[in-house]
Amino acid sequence: MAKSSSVARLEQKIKRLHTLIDVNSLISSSLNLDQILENVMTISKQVMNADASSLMLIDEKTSELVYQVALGSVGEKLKQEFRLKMGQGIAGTVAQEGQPLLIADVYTHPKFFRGHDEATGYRTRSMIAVPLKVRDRITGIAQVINRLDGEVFDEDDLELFIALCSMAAIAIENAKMHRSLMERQRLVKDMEFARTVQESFLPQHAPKVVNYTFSSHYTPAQEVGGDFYDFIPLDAARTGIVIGDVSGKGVPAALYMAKLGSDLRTLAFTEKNPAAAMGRLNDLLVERSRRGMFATLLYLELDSGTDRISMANAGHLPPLIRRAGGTVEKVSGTGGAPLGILKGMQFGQDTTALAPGDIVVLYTDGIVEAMNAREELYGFDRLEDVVRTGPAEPDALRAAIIAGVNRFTGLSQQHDDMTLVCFGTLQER
Amino acid sequence: MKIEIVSEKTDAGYLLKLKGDVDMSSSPEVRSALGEAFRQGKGARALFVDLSQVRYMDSSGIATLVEAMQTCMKQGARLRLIDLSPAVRDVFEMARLSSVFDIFASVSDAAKGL
Repeated sequence: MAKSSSVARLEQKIKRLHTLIDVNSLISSSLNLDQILENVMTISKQVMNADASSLMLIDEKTSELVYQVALGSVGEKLKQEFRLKMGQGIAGTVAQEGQPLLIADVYTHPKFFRGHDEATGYRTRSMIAVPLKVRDRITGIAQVINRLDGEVFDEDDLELFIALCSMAAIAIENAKMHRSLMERQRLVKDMEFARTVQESFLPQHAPKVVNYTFSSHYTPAQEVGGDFYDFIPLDAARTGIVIGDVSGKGVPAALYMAKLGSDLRTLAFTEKNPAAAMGRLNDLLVERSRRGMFATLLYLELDSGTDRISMANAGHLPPLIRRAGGTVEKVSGTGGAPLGILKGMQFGQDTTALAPGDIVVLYTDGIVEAMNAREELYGFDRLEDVVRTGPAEPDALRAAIIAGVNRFTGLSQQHDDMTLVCFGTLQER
Repeated sequence: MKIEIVSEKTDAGYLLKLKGDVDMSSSPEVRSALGEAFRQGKGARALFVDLSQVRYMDSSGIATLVEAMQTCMKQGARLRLIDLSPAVRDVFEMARLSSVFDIFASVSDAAKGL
């Protein structure tokens, strides 16, 4: 008699092992979290021969247990109405303590929360509640309620459900990781799109100005950055030339830059000179200042009729002028502080004459702060050297500067945008 | 640690001493320390930030100081920067920031005339 009973137990164990193997392949057959949760609970209900089953995951923001799946006659009501705090009720206790519970009659358990039964009219009797664990971290709980054959759950049921839940916990974690990977990939795609939108704000063509040639270069850093440049045709003889750098990186900097660029395009026409445009632009930016964001900006007006540039500099790096004779001037000028910090700031304006063969070089700090593998900065001296000794034509000089920076940095990844604008008068007219 | 922040209460207002790099990754920490100083020192005449031990400051660090200055102005207080390290001084000179911030050699100098 004893022998046949132990054979029966062995047979049951083998059957349960088979079930678990089937369960594992079913649970792992999907990476869709909702599908897995639903599978886990449907299988639990069948395998455990239970009247109802439910699964709650811990909401990491609130540390509450939230129903994800509740199967059985009152499942939907449970799902909509209940959240449990850690330590609250049997589920909350299991989630807090991390130990499974096997209860013959829950009404005798001091932690049983009768709210569910009272709200749904259901009578919970026997129950198993098991924590879902991934490497000692508790991510939720699963429970089965009332055996369909009217018996109470026993130790064998508990053992089976623990095995089932350990598989379920891993499958749920994998699905969560898959979901967050997908979200990250979507974010990367969004950022790539944001970058193409940002680049579309930059001039698509060099301006056409009699006796002048223009050349520009823009390399975005890995993230969406805050550099920008623009050419504004003001009238037949005058062209506005802008280069700037918004503090910070990412989408906020790009949006700030986009608005600033369009404001300046308007002010370039309505204000009488670069210094006045800069003053108005500064006030606009201070009014909508958020988190201290500011921009350095250099705005020049080139008058091709008189061969003069007038410029206002708001905290931006000084332009270099390579004179036809081979000397390089750093035009520090009067200027002012960056835009968007203090209202009512006044900006100085400097005017310089250009002779045939002169080239003006505008740049952002991504050029002078380009870094090599030894963490050395490219620096002003190297830039000035290339400007002094490089080709005497804007496009070729622009190419030489970028080539010089690239040679210096090698394969080191740069963390800032690099923007360069070169323009100059033709040698022979 | 990228940045160390020490906060002290002085007669004229809170003093924050920054040590390390103030960049994209550490600026949020500086920002929240400044926010805390604003809460604790509500009604104070000034907020002092000692920059003598700052090795590096990028534009996000400057933006943090700009925001602190704008908050001070709204509250009728003054932001006073103390003893700029050579690295910070270079950044301030290059971007002509010395004209917008009040900069002092020491806390006692900065506390005068408040």
